[in-house]
Amino acid sequence: MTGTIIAIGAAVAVLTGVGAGVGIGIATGKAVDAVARQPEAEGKISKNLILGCALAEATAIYGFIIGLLIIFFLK
Amino acid sequence: MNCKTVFTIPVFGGIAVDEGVVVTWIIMMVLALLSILFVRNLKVENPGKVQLALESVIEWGENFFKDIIGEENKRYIPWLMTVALYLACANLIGLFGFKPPTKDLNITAGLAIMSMLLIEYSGIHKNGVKHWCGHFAKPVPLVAPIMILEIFIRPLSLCMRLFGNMLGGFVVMELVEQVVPLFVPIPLSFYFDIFDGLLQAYVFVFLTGLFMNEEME
Amino acid sequence: MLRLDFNLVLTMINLVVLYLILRKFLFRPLMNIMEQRRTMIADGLQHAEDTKKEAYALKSQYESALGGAKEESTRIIGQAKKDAKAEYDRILDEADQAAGKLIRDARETIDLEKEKTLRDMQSEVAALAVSAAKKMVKQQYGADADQAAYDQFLKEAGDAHDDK
Repeated sequence: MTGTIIAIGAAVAVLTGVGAGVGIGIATGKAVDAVARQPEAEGKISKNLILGCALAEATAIYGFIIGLLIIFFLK
Repeated sequence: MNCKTVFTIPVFGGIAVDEGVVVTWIIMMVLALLSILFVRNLKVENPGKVQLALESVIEWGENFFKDIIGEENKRYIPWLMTVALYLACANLIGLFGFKPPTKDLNITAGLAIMSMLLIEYSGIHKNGVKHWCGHFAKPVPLVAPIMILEIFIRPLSLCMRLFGNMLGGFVVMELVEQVVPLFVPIPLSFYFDIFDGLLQAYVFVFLTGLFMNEEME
Repeated sequence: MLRLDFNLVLTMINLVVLYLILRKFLFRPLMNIMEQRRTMIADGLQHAEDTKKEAYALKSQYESALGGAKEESTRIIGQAKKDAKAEYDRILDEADQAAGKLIRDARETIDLEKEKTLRDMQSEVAALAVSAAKKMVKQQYGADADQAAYDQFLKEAGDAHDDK
């Protein structure tokens, strides 16, 4: 029973990935827009996109870590 | 999934040396051997093909980091390139059957602590201790606790990002391999090992450079 | 996996060692070589630029020298012309003066000659007159004789003048 609850807790923690997914999706869409508008600025745009994605992804990673922590330390 | 202890150094009541560290040693050895092997007979005029390739790679890295931290701070470029090279090798070594060392929290934490030291050192070296102490109270003294926390949040974020990405990729790959051991893992391996690995190495050094630049302003 | 222990320190040592190794064997030599090449290229370009500048400087120098030579020659020719003109003028002047002097001398000589002749003539006339007077004194005796003496005197003086 506790195992199930722990698993549910880990699953809830991993739900943070939704935010990261939406955020990265929006960022990429805007980046594509920007590249379509100004193809010559592609290098700078993709650099900033990668930076933004890395930062946005951090939330998903934190959720993942918390999930791991829940699984490993609440056994 | 857990990191195995390869051997124990029998001092201080036994130091357990993990897999990741041993793989790191292997990577170091390979990198050192390769650089000794290829960086020979350098010529100023009429360089050979190997030298040209090496030079173009180094030059690309130099320009990349110069763009981030500026021409005047190029003394930090070798360190950043070392980290980038190590991370690229560590993330790609999963292709050769090793476990990537970066899925071990110790390794990423060590990397992040070194990054933290470098970031703060670069700020102190550039602007002096006084300015470094003073910059916590900018723009208002109220934010000082947050600024001080940022010293530790930045490497924590770096460490956790790298660790989480690599571990996530590794876990997904392991699960896929358990379900379908043939053919299906190959395209996934391209994504998780090559693309994600290189991307994370890039992001790690990129963010380190960015933080350094921020600190040196 | 989720624990921090001594491996963290090992990792940091590993990184520093790797950094030192790579710096010694990879970055330093390569960057040195690249720096050397860069300086070499910069030197070459600088050298080329210098040579070009030097060539330009030489060219302008030659041009100015050529222009100077031309000017000099013009100047020399002008000087020579002026000198020649002055010499010519001087010679002409001298010749003029010499000629004038010659003419003057000749005139003077002529004048002197004339005066001398005149004086000779006068003395002759005087002598004639004296002789005529002597004759007249000798032949005081008749108007005819007077007349004859007078005629003779005139004849003699006229002859003397005619001879001249």
